[in-house]
Amino acid sequence: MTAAVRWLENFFQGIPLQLLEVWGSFAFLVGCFLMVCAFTGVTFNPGSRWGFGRQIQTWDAKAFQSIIITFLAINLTGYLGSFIVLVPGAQTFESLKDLSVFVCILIFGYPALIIIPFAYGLSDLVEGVPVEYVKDWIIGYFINPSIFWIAYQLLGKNPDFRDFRKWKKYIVFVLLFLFLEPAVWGYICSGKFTSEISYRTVTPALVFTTSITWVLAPFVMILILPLARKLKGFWAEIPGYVKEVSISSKKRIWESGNGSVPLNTVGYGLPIRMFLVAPFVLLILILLGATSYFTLRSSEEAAGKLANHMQKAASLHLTYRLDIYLNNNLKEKKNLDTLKIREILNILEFSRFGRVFIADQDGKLIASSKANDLIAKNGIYTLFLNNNGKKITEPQTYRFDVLTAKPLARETWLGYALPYVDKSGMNYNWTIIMAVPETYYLEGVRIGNSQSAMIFAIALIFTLIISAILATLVTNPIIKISKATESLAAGDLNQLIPPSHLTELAVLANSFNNMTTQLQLSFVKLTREVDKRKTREQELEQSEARLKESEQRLQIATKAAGLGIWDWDMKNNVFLWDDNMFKLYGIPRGDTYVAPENWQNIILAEDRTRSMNQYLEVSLSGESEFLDEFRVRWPDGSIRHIKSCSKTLKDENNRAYRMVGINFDVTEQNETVEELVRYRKHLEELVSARTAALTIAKRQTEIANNAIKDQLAELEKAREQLVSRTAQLESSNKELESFSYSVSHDLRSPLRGIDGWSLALLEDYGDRLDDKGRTYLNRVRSETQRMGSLIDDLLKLAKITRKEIEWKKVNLTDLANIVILRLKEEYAGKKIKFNVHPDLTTQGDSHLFEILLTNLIGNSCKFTSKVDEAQIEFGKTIVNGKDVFFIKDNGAGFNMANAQNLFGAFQRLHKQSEFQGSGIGLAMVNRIINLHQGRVWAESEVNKGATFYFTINDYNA
Amino acid sequence: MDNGLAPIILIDDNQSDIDLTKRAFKQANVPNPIATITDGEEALDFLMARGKHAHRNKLKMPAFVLLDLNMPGLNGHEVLKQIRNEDDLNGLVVVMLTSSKEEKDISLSYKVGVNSYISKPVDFVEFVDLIKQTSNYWLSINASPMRII
Repeated sequence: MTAAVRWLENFFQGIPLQLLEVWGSFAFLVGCFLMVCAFTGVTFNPGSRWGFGRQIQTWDAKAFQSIIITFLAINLTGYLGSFIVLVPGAQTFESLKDLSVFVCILIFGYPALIIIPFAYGLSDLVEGVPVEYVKDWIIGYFINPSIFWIAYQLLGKNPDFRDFRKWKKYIVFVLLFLFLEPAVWGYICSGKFTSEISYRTVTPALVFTTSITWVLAPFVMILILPLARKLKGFWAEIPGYVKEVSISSKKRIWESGNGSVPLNTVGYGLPIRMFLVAPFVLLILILLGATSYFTLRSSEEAAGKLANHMQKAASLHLTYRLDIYLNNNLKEKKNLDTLKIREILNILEFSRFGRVFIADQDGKLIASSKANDLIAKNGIYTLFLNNNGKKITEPQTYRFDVLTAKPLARETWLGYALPYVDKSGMNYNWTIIMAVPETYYLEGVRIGNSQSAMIFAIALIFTLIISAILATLVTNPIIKISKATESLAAGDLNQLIPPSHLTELAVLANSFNNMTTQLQLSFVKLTREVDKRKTREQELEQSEARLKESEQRLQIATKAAGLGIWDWDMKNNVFLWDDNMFKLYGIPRGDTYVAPENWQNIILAEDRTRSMNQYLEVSLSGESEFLDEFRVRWPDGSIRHIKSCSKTLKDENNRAYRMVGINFDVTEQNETVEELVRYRKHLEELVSARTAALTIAKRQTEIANNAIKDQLAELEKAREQLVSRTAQLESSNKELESFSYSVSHDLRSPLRGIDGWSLALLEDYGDRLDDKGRTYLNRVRSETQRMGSLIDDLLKLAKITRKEIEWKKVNLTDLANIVILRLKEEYAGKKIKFNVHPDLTTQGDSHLFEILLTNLIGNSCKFTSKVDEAQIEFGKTIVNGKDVFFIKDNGAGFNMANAQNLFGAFQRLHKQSEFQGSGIGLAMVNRIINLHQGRVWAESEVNKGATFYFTINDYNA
Repeated sequence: MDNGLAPIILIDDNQSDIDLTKRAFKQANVPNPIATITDGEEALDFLMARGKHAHRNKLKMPAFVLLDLNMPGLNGHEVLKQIRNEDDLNGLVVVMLTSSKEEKDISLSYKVGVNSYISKPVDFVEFVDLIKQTSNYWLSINASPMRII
């Protein structure tokens, strides 16, 4: 480890500081650019194609989770890393947190990036970095993750290291990182320490530690990526989480989760721009390096010489002073006083900016211009080390480093050693050393160098920009041509390239355009030709199909019509029959009858001569078409009528060479004609008979029609009557209403009079009447009052009749319990055992049900009043699958013979003296049940109680 | 008859009913004088001190009014409506005394602003009891706006 660090430090030692500063400044500027791009969500690889694009992040719970995980991971690994010592006393494995930065950026993407600067800051504070340092390093906290952003651009969408191609990209990233990041920190630290320390200590240290990280990183990714994918935390695979759009428009290029929009890209090879830009950059770097190296060397040398002269002069001055002092000391016989010597050393102007110290011949410090001086000790140590521990005999110039506690605080001093032998005779054999820090005499040079380095860096950036523009100028037309070629390959021939200002490219564009035009023209020709051929082919196919079709049709037709076809080639005397011909002649196929001379033997003798002669005539005369009918005898002896039709084909000499004909069987046709004649006759008879029948039927229909008309008229009359009946009914309903009103008001009024005046008579003239008279008057009153209550009941009934029903769910158990509570008050003296079943519910009008139950349960109470242990039950049974409610008592009951009057108004089955009542209650019950479309009935026996049953909504069910 | 108490006004067209009601008041021992008016128009004239009754002391308000519903000419509802429209008769207690038990008569009466609705029973003994209770309530129990008698 230590050796590796030393090697790196030596490597950087070999690079001129000037060049390192240019490198640092350049890296810093590039870092700033990357920082702006990364934090503003710019992507260089939209849709896996190089260019500029914007990235749109969805800020959901997952994003915030990523932020928290990243923050914790960085702080934890930072803390752990500070315990792992790489180089004892100097280096810890702090870049372990860089490893988590790398992993978090690749796994979580943008949300991880924005928290990293803060995580860095906190982590460094935790590790004990002073606050002022953290303040100076803030910019570095932002640039550092932005350099990691390169990895995100290169590997981001699929950082799967099991794929070999990813390693190539990874190596590119690592080289870029090592080129930029350590140099950026060198630049940032150079503001705090000297450039020397920053670039020669900090930068190599960072190269060293981060290198270790980059060895580990791919393996960590191989472990972590599958886990992130499993937990659905990998940014590029969360649907809709990140969208990539082009820089200027909202055109979506890529969206996470759906995968990339695949573009026809060739994934390898270096872009042409690189070749155009790289030489410029290389050239400038070499120029700058060389210039700065030689400038620094010469200025360092000059300054070093100057310092050396100064040292020599001052050392001479010192020897005189020492001589004087040592002489005096001898005279006064005093011992050597080191404090006095320090005074002498401090008198020198030199000791204000440098150090003056004296060593004896063994390398022991005698005195220094500053007490307890580490620098002096270091200077003497290095001097004697350089001379292999031997005595210094010659004046010499040398350099030594002063190392303090931390590697960051190293300083190089320029020393001048002068051997001194005193002339007083004390024989002191000393070495005087004059040391001055390089920073003292090189500070101005270095500040100047730093500034010029910055200027060089800016120049480098400009060079890059200009060369990039130039490269674009050159590559743009090439890209256009390559795109056009791609489109050409894809089949789009309509490609034109705009002319270029560059001659060569203009020529290229022109010839390309010519080529495409030519290609288009020939393509059009080709298409036309192809089209023509196609049409022709189609036509051919169609006509073939038509031919086949018509052949098939012919076959079907001949088969269906029973047509036999024959073909006689007269030249070769070949006679051909088709299948149907054999059928027509009743001969099995393949028999020998096919020769014309055999054929005529089948034909009946009387038809034969005629036919053959005629045929002959035809063949001689050359008449083209010929029609004939003849009879043949089948092998089974039956006679068939055959009709024949033939056509003769003639050559140029008007000689017949071929005859084609058809035969068909007309036996049945001939028979059918006879049959038809018979049928016609029969039909004529039938028609005349039917016509007669129809005339009668028509007359009957007319009569029936008239009857229907009459019936319709009657129906119309009935309907009119119904309408008028309805109107009457409506008016009678109204009358009923006004009647009930007058009953209520006008009829009761005189009753009150009768009662009132009867009482007045009793009160005022009662003493003048005998007992009988008074009894009569009292009877008048009681009858009057009964009349009053009759009228009240009648009104109640009428009210129910007029009521519109309200259908709702009704709990009959609850209603019955309310009614029973009221009845218990009325029959307070009586012991009645009520049994109401629970949860009796139905649909209907709650108010009407209350009246119903009041009447039915009230009746039961009334008719059990003479029984000792009255029992009344209200419940439900199921008859034929329907709910039937019942009210059962053990009271007086009634004779079932009178049951038909039970539900009529003012019908009573008991005497008024036995049980009170108007006889209106059950009429009301009946009415209410009717309104609910139910049925009510009763079962009873005298003195054995009665049971009233009712159903609700029975008709519909 | 004039014992200085505010009169009870009975508005009814049936003489027999009037006589019976008066008799009931007597039996119920109500001390207030009973004034009877037999048609609605005159009742309004009396209450508003106009027409035939223009010289009546308008400030002398009845203890309460018993009003029949079914009358020729203006019926009970119409009389009550006009009473309620008259600012001077603000707070006058009007009790319907009628043989009707019709739902619509009762609800219309309350809509027009009746103070109480009483249906006359057929039994005279019950009627006397009812008159006693009604008078007791409106004369002793109920608090009416103060008036100069």
